[in-house]
Amino acid sequence: MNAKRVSDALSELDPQYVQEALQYKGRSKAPRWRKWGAAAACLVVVVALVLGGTSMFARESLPQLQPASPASPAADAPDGMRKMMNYNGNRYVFLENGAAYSLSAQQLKAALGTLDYDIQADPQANGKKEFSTTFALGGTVYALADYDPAFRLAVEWEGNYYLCQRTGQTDNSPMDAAEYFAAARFPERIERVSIADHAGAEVLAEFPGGEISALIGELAQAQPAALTEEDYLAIARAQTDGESYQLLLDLNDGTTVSLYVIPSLQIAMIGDNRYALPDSFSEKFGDLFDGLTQGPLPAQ
Amino acid sequence: MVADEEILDLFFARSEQGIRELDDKYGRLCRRLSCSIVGSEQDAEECVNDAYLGAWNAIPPSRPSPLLPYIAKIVRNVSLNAYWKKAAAKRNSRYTVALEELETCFADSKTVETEIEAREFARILGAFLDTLSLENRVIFLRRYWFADGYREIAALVGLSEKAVSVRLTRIRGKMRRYLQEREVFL
Repeated sequence: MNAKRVSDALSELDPQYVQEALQYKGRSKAPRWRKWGAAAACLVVVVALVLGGTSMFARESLPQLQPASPASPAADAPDGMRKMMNYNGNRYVFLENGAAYSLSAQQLKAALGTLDYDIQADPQANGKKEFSTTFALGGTVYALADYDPAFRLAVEWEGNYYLCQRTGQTDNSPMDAAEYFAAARFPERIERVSIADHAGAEVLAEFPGGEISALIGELAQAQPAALTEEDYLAIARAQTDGESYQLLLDLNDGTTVSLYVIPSLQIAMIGDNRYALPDSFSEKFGDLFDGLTQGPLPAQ
Repeated sequence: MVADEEILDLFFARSEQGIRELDDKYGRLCRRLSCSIVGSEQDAEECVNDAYLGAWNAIPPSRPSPLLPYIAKIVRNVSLNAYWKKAAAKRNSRYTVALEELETCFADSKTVETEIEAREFARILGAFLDTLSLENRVIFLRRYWFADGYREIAALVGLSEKAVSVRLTRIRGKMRRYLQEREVFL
């Protein structure tokens, strides 16, 4: 009988292990400082970066994308709406909260249409319409050279250029994780992955470069999570308890994509959607998060 | 509270005050450990009393240091004897659940010759435990040696119960692979 043999063997364990378990003083949980409201539980799966010599792809040289100027506070969408637009059934957020970017004519490809519908004016009617937006109303949507439109687009508005990154689908159905990564050309475009605290304020560890491809492979298997109310509460608790991590993907175009992971719940968030990670993710990468402690979350 | 050395001195002096001091200092932990295995406070009380008798008979000549792991081991062994004596259908304690979790990690031996004896297995288990972080090692011991529930373990290590569950799943997976690589069968 296996169970009895295991039990007998445990009885014969060196007493040092028992003593260790008796004397252990665990870490204290982070205080519950923060209310997350509707933004609870961001899990982001970070796509691994293929580093230099281990990459099987030729290193491409992309123009660096840098904000020409930070977003103007006055340009914030009223009523707390984030800056986003809809195109081709997909939802896109304006990078850096609507900062203008320096783009050359060569970086813009075909014009795809005009942002004609104001979501803020009539969220009910316009919220899911093609070419609807909460920002840059009247702007022209362009495909970007070197980017799949299913990942990024550009918008030209009043002489400025803005970058938009896909974050979901207008009907709120989840994106396919593998397809999204393929569109983003991950892992080859990722240069480095950092594991940060949930707020992104402190980098806790660097993701091993040699494991990034494997990480992408695992994340690509993530399936849309059907979450119950209890699950949402668990996610919120995990955030306040320091079990949620932000993954910072530094891309070879100078931008950074942020994702969140809660390894203890095996949930990831890609864009606006939540996904269940395969068990193998925890087996392969759980150790990277073990022992990472986060300071108290900043008060909102 | 009396120091361990003083308790041992009382045992050596064959003073029953030693038993009272031992119970005063460690009785609560001993009863909780026993109850986790036998599943009944009444049975646990009996097991702990039997364990104290066992310690009384062993000390002297033994003078264990530290004292607590020594007593805990006696309590555990006495409790396990009671546990295994119960009809299989009535084994209804947290320990049953914990053992069922562990059973999935071990492959059956193909032949009698490949079975491993308890002490050798314990040595291999110890080597496996050394590959774990301190926190994971404690989580493993608290679950499978002390038969603590997820809530108690979570409170001890400062994690959520779900996180403890996921950790244990991972640790069991690692142990399974570790034992398979070393062709350890039960």
